[in-house]
Amino acid sequence: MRLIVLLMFASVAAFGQAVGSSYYHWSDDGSNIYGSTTVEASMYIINPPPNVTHIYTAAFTLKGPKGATVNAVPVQISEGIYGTEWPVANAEISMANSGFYYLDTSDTAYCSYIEEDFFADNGTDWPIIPQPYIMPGGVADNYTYTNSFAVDSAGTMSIYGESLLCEGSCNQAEIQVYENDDPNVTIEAITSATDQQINVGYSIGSGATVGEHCLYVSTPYGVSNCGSYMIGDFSPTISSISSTSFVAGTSTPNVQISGQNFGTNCPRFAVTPALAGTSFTPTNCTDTVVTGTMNIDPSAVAGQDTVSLTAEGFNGQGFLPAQPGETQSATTTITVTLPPPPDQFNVSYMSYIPVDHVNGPDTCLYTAVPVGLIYKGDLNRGTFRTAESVLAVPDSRLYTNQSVQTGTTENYGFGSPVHPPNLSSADEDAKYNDCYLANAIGQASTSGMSVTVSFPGSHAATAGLSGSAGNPLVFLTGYPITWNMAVSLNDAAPSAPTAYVIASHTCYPAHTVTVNRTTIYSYQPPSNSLSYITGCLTGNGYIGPVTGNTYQVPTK
Amino acid sequence: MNLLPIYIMAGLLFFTPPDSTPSTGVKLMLEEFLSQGGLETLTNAAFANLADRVDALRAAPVAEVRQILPLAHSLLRSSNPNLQTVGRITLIAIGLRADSAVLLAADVPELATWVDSPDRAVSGTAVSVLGHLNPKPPATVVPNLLPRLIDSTASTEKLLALSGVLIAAAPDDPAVVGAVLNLLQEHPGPEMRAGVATMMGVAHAVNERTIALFEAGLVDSDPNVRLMSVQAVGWQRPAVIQHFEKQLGKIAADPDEQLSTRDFASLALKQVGTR
Repeated sequence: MRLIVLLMFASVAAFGQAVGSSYYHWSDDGSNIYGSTTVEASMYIINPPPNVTHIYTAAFTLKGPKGATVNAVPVQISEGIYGTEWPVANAEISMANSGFYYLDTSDTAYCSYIEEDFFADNGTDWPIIPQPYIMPGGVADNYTYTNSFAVDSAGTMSIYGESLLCEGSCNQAEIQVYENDDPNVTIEAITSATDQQINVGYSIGSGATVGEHCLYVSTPYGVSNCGSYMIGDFSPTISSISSTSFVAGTSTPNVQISGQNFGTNCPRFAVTPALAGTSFTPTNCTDTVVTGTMNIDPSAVAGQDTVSLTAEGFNGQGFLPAQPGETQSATTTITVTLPPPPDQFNVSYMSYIPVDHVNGPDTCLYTAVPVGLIYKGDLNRGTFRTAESVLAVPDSRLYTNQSVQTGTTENYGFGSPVHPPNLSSADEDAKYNDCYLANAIGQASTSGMSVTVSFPGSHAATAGLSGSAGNPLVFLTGYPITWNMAVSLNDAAPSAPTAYVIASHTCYPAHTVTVNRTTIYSYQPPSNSLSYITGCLTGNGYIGPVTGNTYQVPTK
Repeated sequence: MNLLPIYIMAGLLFFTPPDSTPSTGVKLMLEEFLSQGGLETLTNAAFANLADRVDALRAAPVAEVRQILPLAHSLLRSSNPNLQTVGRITLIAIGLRADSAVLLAADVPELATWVDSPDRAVSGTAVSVLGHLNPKPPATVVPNLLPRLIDSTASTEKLLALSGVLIAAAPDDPAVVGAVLNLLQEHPGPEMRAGVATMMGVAHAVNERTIALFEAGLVDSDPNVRLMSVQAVGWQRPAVIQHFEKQLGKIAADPDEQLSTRDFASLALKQVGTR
């Protein structure tokens, strides 16, 4: 007959110091045992205290037949219990070999009858040290006091639980805290520990997986449950932007937006008011700084624009809020200013007779006597023969205010000039066509004059001022004043724009080209004789093309 | 050929023999040019000096000018372009004389051919000289130039130049006036309309067709044509201006009309005492 005795050391998994006591579960099969009969006993011990030798005294009386004492001599069984060998079961003890036994695994003890005190400890309560236990939500960041941690962050955390320091029986060096499922999470050395709280440093790399994680506390008495915590993304915040003012129509590279929790995936950016040409385009992204190019639409109005950053998390994982309430976006404001008005260039051409009057080629009859007509010049009169102008804006590739004009032509007959050597108001009689004093007045057609503007470069313009105009008071149209002025404007350096002209023209009269009132070309005829004038206007002695000097010109 | 260096030419331009008339100095200068066979260059300053010296020919005794004229012809026939220019400016100066029509009458046929030259200096000289032959271009101008007016390939610019000379030569010749007016049929552009109106106005060519031309010009869609037509009317005798009084008044008062056109309309009306 065998009596199977199951002896169980059960630890009381409870909070607070656990006190262990041997209690056991036993039964017999109702059979008597006899001398030299072996007693079978099985022991199953849960949570054995490791590395401790406990001596248990099995003071029991074998009785037989059942209910009668067979042998009152107690037999002590002593066993060495080693944590690594537990559970110990089936230690076989022969009744004939009462004494101290060291039970090894697979040993089996038999007995015919076991009273309550078959196994008892040696009379001293001993503490049962439970395995460490981490409370639900018992992992907390010491900065946020939350159970949530951010990718690419570092700090200290507290782990709250029980038996974290072996009920006070372990020293700190025997404790380990670790996470075994994410190599990007590093648990540093324990900075302080009590049985209910361990403080430990941590770092969470940018490669950490967002979501729920476990960490564990290991003591000599076991490994804790999963101390759950969350790794996710915190709300991004923008602390500064390297430049806060931008000019409409410009593109500004290397603008740095600094802050926190941007993630390593480049955030998305939006700028409002939304315009086609307004954007912030990241070129380099880190968790704390995004470098990019700020583009402002040329049509943007002056004022405040909002730059919105939407975090996209780390390493392609997307943004996962570390905890409820975390937002994905952050904003900052920038100031949009309008660019200074582009430089404008008034390009003007003028031809003029540089003396008071000149002899003309034609005659009239005054009292049947031929009189050579003289023509009023432009000296000191602010008048001109021909004039053209245009307002060019190279940076805008625009031009406007094209103007072509001819001055009035006046000739004088007999008696002029009344007050030599110059014509005066005394020459202006009321009657024309009489060959006396003021004889005729006319104005040439502008049909042969033209103004064109082209833009050969982004900051350049070429104004073409050309044309021809004849004396409206004579028959002949075959020898007019002609000119062709190609004025090149260069505004690449807005503070110092330049201009020069390639000029060609008849050698009479005087020709000038100005840009914003600065004369960049001035031709003065060396003679005002009729033969020279006629020779010039007939095409003999034509000037150019000549390339004038380059001048710096005003911007307005 | 030895080209006359610039410094020698400059000396010639400024040198006048003592006790000589200006025209004598010109004659000597031209002879020296011819003897050298060519001019290396002709700067604008030199050209001006040359022009100023030959300008004296406008008032020189006709006998002296007659001695110079062959020199001008020789210069014009030179192979050296600069000497040709000297010849042309000499011819221009002579052409500006009060008796140039007589002096240059024999040159008219050749000058007429110059009108066709693609060299603007040559054609321009021809137009200027022929148009200014004083006291009036000879009648030979018309047969030499009129056929050129029907050249359908000629440019508007050239046709206007020819017309100017013809009108100057024969402002009262119905054939000339008719030919010029006929240009408008083949060349109806605004440049031709404005040019013909101007010519007819300056020439005081008043007939039914020119009256119609002026009437049309005063209401032309092109502002330049209106401007030149208003002026052309204003240059006429009072009776003609009065014919257009109503139209001129309308133009003068039209705020949409360009200011100069309105002013010339007012000026024309002033000539007949309306304003």
